[in-house]
Amino acid sequence: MIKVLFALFLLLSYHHCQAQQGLSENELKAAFLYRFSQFSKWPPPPPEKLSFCVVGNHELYEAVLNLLQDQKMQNNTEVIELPNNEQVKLCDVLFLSQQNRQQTQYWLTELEQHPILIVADTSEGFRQGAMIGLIADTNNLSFRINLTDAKRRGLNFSAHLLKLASEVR
Amino acid sequence: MRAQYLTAALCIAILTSESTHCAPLPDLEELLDQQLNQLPTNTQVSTASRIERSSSDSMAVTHVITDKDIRQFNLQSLGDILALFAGIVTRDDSVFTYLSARGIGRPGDFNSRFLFLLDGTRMNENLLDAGILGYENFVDVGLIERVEYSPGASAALYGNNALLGVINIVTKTTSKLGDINIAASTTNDGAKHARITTGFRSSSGSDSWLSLSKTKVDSIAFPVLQVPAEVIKWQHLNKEDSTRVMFSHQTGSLQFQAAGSKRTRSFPDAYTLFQNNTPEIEKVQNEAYFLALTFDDKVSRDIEAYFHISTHGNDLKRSAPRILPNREVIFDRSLNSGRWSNLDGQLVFLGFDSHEFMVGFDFQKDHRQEFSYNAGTPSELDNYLKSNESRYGLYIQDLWRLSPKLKFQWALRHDNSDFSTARWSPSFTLKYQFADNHNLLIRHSRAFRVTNFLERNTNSVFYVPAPDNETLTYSEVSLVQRWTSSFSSFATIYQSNIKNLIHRDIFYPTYFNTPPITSQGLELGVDKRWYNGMSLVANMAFQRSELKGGFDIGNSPKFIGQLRFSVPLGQSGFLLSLHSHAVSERKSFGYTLPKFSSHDASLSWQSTNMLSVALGVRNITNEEILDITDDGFIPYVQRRRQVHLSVNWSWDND
Repeated sequence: MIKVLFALFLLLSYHHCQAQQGLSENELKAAFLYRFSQFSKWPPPPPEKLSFCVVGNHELYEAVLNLLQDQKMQNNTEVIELPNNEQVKLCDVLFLSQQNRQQTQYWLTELEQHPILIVADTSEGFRQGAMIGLIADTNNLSFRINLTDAKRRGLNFSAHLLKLASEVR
Repeated sequence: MRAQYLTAALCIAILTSESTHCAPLPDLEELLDQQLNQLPTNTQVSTASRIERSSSDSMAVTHVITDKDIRQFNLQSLGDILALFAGIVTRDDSVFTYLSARGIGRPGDFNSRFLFLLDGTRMNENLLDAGILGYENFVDVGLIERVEYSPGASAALYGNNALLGVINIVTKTTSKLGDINIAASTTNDGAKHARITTGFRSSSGSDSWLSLSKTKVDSIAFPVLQVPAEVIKWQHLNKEDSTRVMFSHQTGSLQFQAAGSKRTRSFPDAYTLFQNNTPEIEKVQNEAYFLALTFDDKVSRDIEAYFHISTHGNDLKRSAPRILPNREVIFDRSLNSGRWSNLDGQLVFLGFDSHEFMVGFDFQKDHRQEFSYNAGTPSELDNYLKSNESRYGLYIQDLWRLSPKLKFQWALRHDNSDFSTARWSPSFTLKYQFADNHNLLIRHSRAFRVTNFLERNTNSVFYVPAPDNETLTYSEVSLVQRWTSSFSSFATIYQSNIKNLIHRDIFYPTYFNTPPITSQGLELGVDKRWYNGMSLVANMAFQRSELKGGFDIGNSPKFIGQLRFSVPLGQSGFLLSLHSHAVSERKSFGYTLPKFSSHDASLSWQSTNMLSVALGVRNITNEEILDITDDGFIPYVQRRRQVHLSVNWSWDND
C-alpha cells in the first residue's frame, strides 16, 4: 500500500507543465508561437485544424508538440517537421528556425500569396519575408512584425500583438 | 498510520498540483519579460557587416550591451556603457570622455579612431571627427535598446574613422518605453538626472516617441590631486548642465529621427582666482542637432535596399577669462562650428547562388567647418579658419558560402575627399565551423583615418605641412565557441601595423606623424549562465603597442580585465550585480600611472507593473585612479566613489 501511494505521489509530483521560471530557449519560442497563432486572424474560411510546421530545429518541433499537448490542443492542431518545401503549403503556421537569407528564400518560393503565418527567429528570415521575426538578444526574446506583408497574404493581427511588437513594418 | 499520512499528502498533492506545477502558459507580456537563462543560439547584430545578420552568421566578433545590463548596473552615460566592453578603457577630464582600445589611446584624439553610429547614422562630428560620450551625447541611456561594438578595422565598409572599432547605438521603440516613461536618478556627489518620454503606437503599427531629459551636476569635485584649499572653497561653481531632446517616428519602411542637445560645463578659473581672490567663470558650451530619414526594406525578391539622408550641426564654444595688467577681466573666446549632411545608400543582392552581394555609397558634404579664436583684446593670436569639403566612398562586399561550414567574405572600398588623396580599403574574412557552434575566423583588413580639419589647419597656421593620413593594416584570428547552451567563449589574437599615426607635438601646437607602430594583443572572454538566472561575464585584454625600434607607446595599459556577475535574490525581484575592473599601469609623458582595480555593486528591483529601482556604489573601495587625457601633462582623477539611486516608471494605456 505504502509503495503504491508513494509511486502515485511521485507521479503527481512529476509534471509536464513547466513553471514560468526556467523555460529553455526553444520552449520559450514554442510559447510565443502558440500565442502568435492566438492573436492572428486568417482569411475566411479560417483553418479548422491549425497546422504548425517547424523547419531547421528538431528541439523546437518537440517543444511545440509538448506545449500543444499541455494545452490539450491535440485535436485542434497538428505539428509537422518539414525536411523540404514540398509540403509547405499544408502549413497554417510556419516557423523557420536558424535560416539565413537564401535558405529563407527557398522556403518562401512557393508561398507568394498563401495565407500562412510565417515566423522566423533570425533577422535575415524576417527581412526576407517572415511576418513575425522572433529575435533573441542576450537576455530576452522580442518580436517584430511585417504587417504590410501579412495583409498582402490576407492575414491580420490583433492590436495587442501590434502594440507589443518591438517594430511594426 | 504512515499510510494515513501519505494519503493526506497525496490529497494535498492532488489539490495543489494544478496551481503549483501546471502554471498557465504565460501571456505575451510575461513571455517578453522572461529572462533567457541560457545563451541564445543567435542574436541579431548589424555593425560587423553593415547589414542585419544573425550572430552565428556574422563575419566578425561583435560585443553587445543591452538595456538590461544598463538598468542592472545603473549606467549613466555612453562612456559607462562602453567601459564594459572587452579591451576598452575610458578616461575623462570632467569635460570630455576619451576611449582607447587595442593598445591605442592617444591623449587628445577625441575618439576620432572609432566610428560612432546611432541607429546606423554616422555621429562623429566634422571638425575633429570627435565621438561624444558624455551627457552631451544625443541619446539618454534610458532610450538605448543595445550598443554593439565591433572591434578592429572596418574601413572596407565604413571608411574614415573605423580604425579601432565601430560602435552602433540602437534605440528603443514604444513597446519598451511605454506610453509614458519617467526616469530619475541622483548621486551623492551632486548629479541629478530626469527624463520623460512619451510614446504612441498607432493601430497601423506606426511608432512615435518624444523624449526630454535634463542632467545637472553641482559642485563637481576638481578632478586633480592636491587641490589648494582656497580653490576647493569655490567648488560650488564647478558644474554641468545638459538638456537633450530626441524624437523618433517610424512607419513601415521609413524612420525619421531628430535630436538636439545643449550642454554647459562651467568651472572657476584658477588663474583669475589667484590674481583677484575671486574666480571668473570659464565655460565650455556644446550645442548639437541632427535630422535623419531612413528607408530600409526588401524591394524585390532578390534585393534589399537601404537609403539614408541626414543633416547635422555641432557648435563648441569656449570662453576663458584673462586678467589684463590693468586688472581688467576679458574673455578669450573660441568656436568650433560644423554643419554637414550625409547621403548613404546600399543594395543587397541575393540573385547569385551562395552569394550575398552588397554595394553601397556614402557621401558627406561638409557645409561648414569653421574655427575662430578671438582674444578679448585684438591680438596676433586671433584666428579664423573656414572650409567646406566633400567626401565620397563606394564599397562592395560579398559573402560567399563555399560550403555549409565554410564562408568567405571580401569587401573593398574606395574613398576620396577634397583635402585628401584617394584610398582603397580591402578586407578579407574566412569563417570555418569546425564543430557545431565552434567557429574560427581569420580576418585581414586595411583602414585609415584622414587628417582632420583641426590637424590640417593647426599646422597651416604655423606653416607646417599637414600630416599624412593614418593607415592601419590588421590581421586577426578569432575563436568563437558556444560550448553548451549556458557557456560560451571568444578569443581574438591580432596584430596591426600603423603607419603615420597622427600625434600632437608635446612642445609645439602642431601635429606630426609618428614612426611606424606595431600593436599586438589578445582579447578573450567567457559568458556563463545558470538556470536560476545567475550570470557571469568575464573578459581580459593583453596588448602591447610599440614604435619601430622597440619603444612602448604610452598611455595604453598592457592588461585590462573585467568581471560582471549578477544573481537574483530568491523570488523577491531583487537582483544583485557586481562589476570589477582592473587595469595595469600606464606610462604617459614621463608619468607612471599606477595600476588599479575598482569594484562596483548595484542592487536593482523590478516590479511587474513596470517600476524599477536601482541603488548602487561605484568604486566601493574609493581606489585612486589617475589617467592623462590630453597633452596638458595633468593626471586626472577618475571614477571616485559614488553612491547612485535610479527610479524608472512606465505607464501603458492598456
